[in-house]
Amino acid sequence: MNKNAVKILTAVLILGVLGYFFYEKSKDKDSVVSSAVSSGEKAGDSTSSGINLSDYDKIPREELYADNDLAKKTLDELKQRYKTDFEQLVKEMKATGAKLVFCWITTEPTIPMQRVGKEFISNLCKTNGVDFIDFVPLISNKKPEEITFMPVDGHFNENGARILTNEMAKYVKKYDNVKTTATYTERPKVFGDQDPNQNTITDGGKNLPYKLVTNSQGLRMDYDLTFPKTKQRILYIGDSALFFPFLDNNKTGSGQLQAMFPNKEVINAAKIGYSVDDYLSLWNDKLKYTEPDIIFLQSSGDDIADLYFTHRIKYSRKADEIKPTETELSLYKTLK
Amino acid sequence: MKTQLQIIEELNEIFTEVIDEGEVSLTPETTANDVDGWDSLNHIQIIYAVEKKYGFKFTLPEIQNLKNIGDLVNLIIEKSR
Amino acid sequence: MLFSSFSFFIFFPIVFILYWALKANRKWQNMLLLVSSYVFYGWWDWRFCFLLLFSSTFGFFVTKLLSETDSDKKRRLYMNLSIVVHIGILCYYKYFNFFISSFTDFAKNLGFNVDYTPLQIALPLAISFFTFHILGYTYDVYQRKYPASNNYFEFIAHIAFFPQLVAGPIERANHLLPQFANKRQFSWIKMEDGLMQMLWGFFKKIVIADTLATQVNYAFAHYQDLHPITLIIAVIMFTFQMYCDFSGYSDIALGCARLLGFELLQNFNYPFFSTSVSEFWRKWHMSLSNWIQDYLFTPISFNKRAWGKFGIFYAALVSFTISGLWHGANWTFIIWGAVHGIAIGYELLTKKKRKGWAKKYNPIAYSIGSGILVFIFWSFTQLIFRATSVDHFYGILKQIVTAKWVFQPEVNSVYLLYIVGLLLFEWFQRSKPYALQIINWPYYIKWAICALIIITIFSSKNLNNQTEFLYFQF
Repeated sequence: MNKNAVKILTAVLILGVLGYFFYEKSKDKDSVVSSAVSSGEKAGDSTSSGINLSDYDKIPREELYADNDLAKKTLDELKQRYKTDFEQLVKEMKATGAKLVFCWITTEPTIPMQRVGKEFISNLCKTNGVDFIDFVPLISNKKPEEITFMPVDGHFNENGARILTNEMAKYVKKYDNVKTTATYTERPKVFGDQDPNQNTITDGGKNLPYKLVTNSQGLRMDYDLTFPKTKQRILYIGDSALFFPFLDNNKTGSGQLQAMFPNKEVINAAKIGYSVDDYLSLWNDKLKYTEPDIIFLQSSGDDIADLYFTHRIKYSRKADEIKPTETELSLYKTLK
Repeated sequence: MKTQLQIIEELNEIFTEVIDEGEVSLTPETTANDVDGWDSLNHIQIIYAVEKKYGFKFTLPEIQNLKNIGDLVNLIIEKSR
Repeated sequence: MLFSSFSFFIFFPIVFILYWALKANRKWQNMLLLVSSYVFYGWWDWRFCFLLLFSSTFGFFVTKLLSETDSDKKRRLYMNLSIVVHIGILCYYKYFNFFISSFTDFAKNLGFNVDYTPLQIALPLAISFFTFHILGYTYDVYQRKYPASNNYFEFIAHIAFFPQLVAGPIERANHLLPQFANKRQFSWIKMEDGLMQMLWGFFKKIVIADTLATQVNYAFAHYQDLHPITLIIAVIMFTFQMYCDFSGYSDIALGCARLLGFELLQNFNYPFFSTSVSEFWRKWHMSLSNWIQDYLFTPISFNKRAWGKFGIFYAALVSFTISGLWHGANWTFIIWGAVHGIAIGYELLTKKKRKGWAKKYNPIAYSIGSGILVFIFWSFTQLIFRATSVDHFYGILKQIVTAKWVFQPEVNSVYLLYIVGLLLFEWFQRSKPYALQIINWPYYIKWAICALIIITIFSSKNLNNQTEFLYFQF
C-alpha cells in the first residue's frame, strides 16, 4: 500500500514534468507541439469570435492582384505603406553619404505581382534619385534549372549568384571612391539579425544542405567588422534573394564579391522573409553603425505583397507589433 | 543391406574427411551442435560426399528436415532400397 | 503514413482502443487490423491498395492450388507461376526503367542509335517487402515445410499487417500467421515493453539519424570541396545514420505490433559488435539475411554442390548481388551486394584458416582487431550504398584518396559523440532484445529515463522537417 503510494507520487511527478515541458513547448512558435495544438484548436473552435493572429494562414499573394475593389483597395494601402518606408529608408541612407544602388531581382518577371511591383518601385526610385538596376534581362534568358535549385526550390544556385555578382561588381568598380561621411561614437555589438557565431549545416527541410556561417555580429560573413574601418564597405540588404539560402558562404553573391575584392569588406545582412519595413528598422537599429559606403538594396514585388499582415506576423522582425488594418481584415474574411 | 552401425561408421569417415578438424565420433543422437565445425556449408559438402558414396541424390527438403545423424542414417537406408 | 507523422499519432491510438475493445471476438479484431492496414497503406496512395490486394490474393490461391495437388510437375508449375507473377510485378514497378536504360546505354556504347524516354512509373511503397514475404510463404509450402493457409482473410491481413508492411521485418507465414489464428493476450508488461521499444525507435530515428542526416547530406552533396577527414567522418556518420534509421524503424514496428499483442521477428541484434562480415549479416536486417539464406543461398549452394568450394562462393556472390538489386534499381546497389557476396564467400572459404589465426593471438585483441576491420569494410560499402551513382561513389573515393589532408572537419564532428554514446549504451545492454529494454529497472529510474527521452525527442529541431525512413525506397 505504502509502496504503491510512492509509485503513484513518482508517476504524478514525472507526468507533471512532462506536462510542464509540453506546456512550455506549446508556447514556442517554432515547435511541432504548438503547430499540432493550433491545428487541433482550429479544427475544434472555428466559430470563435476572438481574433488570435497566429490563427491566420498565409494567403496566396495572387489574391491581392485579383480584379475586385477590395483587393485593389488593400493593394493600394500596401503600396502606400511601401512608399512611406522606402522614402524614409532612402533618405536616411543617402544622408550618410553612402551610394545606394537598388537591385530589381526576380525569376518570375511576368506574374502580376512583379509587373505591378516593377512599375511602382522603379517610379519610386526615379522620384527619389536612386539607381534602379534591373537584373531580369541577365537571367530571363537562362533556364531555371541552370541558375536556381529548380525544381526543388526557386532560389539562386551558385551559377545564378555568379551572374548577379558579375553585374554588381561593375557598380562596385564604378563607385570605388565613394566614401560615407557618417561615423558613430557608440554602436551596438550586433549589426545583423542572424544568430551570431553560427557554424551549422542546415537544409531548410528541402534536402539542399548548406553551411550557414555568421560572425559574432549577426552578419552572414566569415570575419568581424572592426572600427575605425580601414577598407571600403559594401552592404547587402534584402530578403532571401540576397541571403542566398542553400549556398555555402563562399558561394553566395556576397561571398563571391568578397573574393573578387579582397580590399573591400562585403557585409551580408539580408534575411529570409524581410520586407521594406524591416529594412528600415534594421537600418536604424543596427545596420547604419557598420558605416557602409555602397549599399545594394534588393527588393521586388514580393515586398509589397508581403506587407500584408499574414506574412508580416510570420516573418517580420517586429512580428509582435503587427496588427491588421480594417481593409486587410475584410479582405481576409472574404478569402477564408 | 547395410546395418545402421555400418552406415554410421562410413559416415564417420566422410565427416572426418570433409570437416577436417580431427577425429569425429558419431552416434544416432549426434546433432550439428555437437560436432565442431559442422555448419550449414560443410553440411552441403557432407551431403554431396554421401551422395557420391551411395550413388543417389537427395532433394533439398529431405536434407533440411534432418534433425540428427539417426535421421540421416534412416534416410540413407530408405534411399538405397 | 509515416510512423513519425502526426497522422500516425492519431491513427494508432484509435486502432489500439478499438482493437482491445474487440478483445472478445478474434475475427472482428482481425478484420479491424485488415481495414486499418489498408487505411495505413492507402494514406500514401490509395490506388496501390489494389496492387497489394492482388498480390496477396494471388499468393494465397496459387499456394492453395499448389498444396492441393500431389503431382510434382503441377507443384513446380504453380511455384514457377508464382515467381514469374510476383517478380514480374516487382520488375515492372521497380526495375523496368533501369533495365531498359542500362540496355540503351550499352547499345549506345556499341554504336547503335537508340532513343528511349523513361516511363513514368511510381514505385509502390513496400512492394519489395510484401513480394518477398509472399514468395517465401509459397516456397515453404512448395517444400512442404508447413501446410498452406485455409483462411483467406487471416492471410491477407497478415500480409498487410501495418506495423511490418512498409519496411519489414520481412515476416514468415509460419511465424506471423499462427498469431492471427490465436487469441491475443492483453498484458500491462507487454504494453510497457512495446511502448519502450517504440520510444527507443523514435529516439534513434528522430534524435540520432535525422541529426546525422544533415551532416551526411551536406558532405555527400559538396564532396568536391571537402577534405578526406571530413568525408571519412561523413561516411562513418552515414553508417550510423542508416543503422539508427532502419533499426529505429524496426523497433517502432516491433513495439507497435507488441502493443497489439503480436511478436514480429527481431531485425537487428547489435551488429556493430561483430567480428566477421558473416556475423554482421546475422545481426543486421536479420529478416532479410535469413530470407536470402533460406531462399537463395541454400538452394543455390545445394544445387551447385558438385562444384565444391567454388559452388559456395558462387552461391554467396549470386544471392548477395540479388539482395543488392532488391534494395534498388541502381548499379551502386548491385556493386554493394556483389562486394558483400565476395566478402562472405571469402569468409566461408577461409573459416578454418581464420580459426588458426585466432589461436595465435590474444583473443580479446583479435576480436577487437577484427571488429574494427569489419567496421571499416562495412562503412566502405555504406559509401557505395549512399552514393547516388557509380560516378558519385568514384568521385568521393577519389577525393578521399587524392585530396590534401586538413585536420579540421567541415561537418560538425561533435555529433560523433552521439555515436560513441549509442555504442556504449548498446554494449551495456547487448544481452537485451533492444537497448532500451529496462522494464526490470526500478520504476523511478525507468520512468525518468523514458520522460527524458520524450523530452529529448520533442526538443529536437528535426521534428520540424521530418525525413522519410531510408528503407521506404526499397
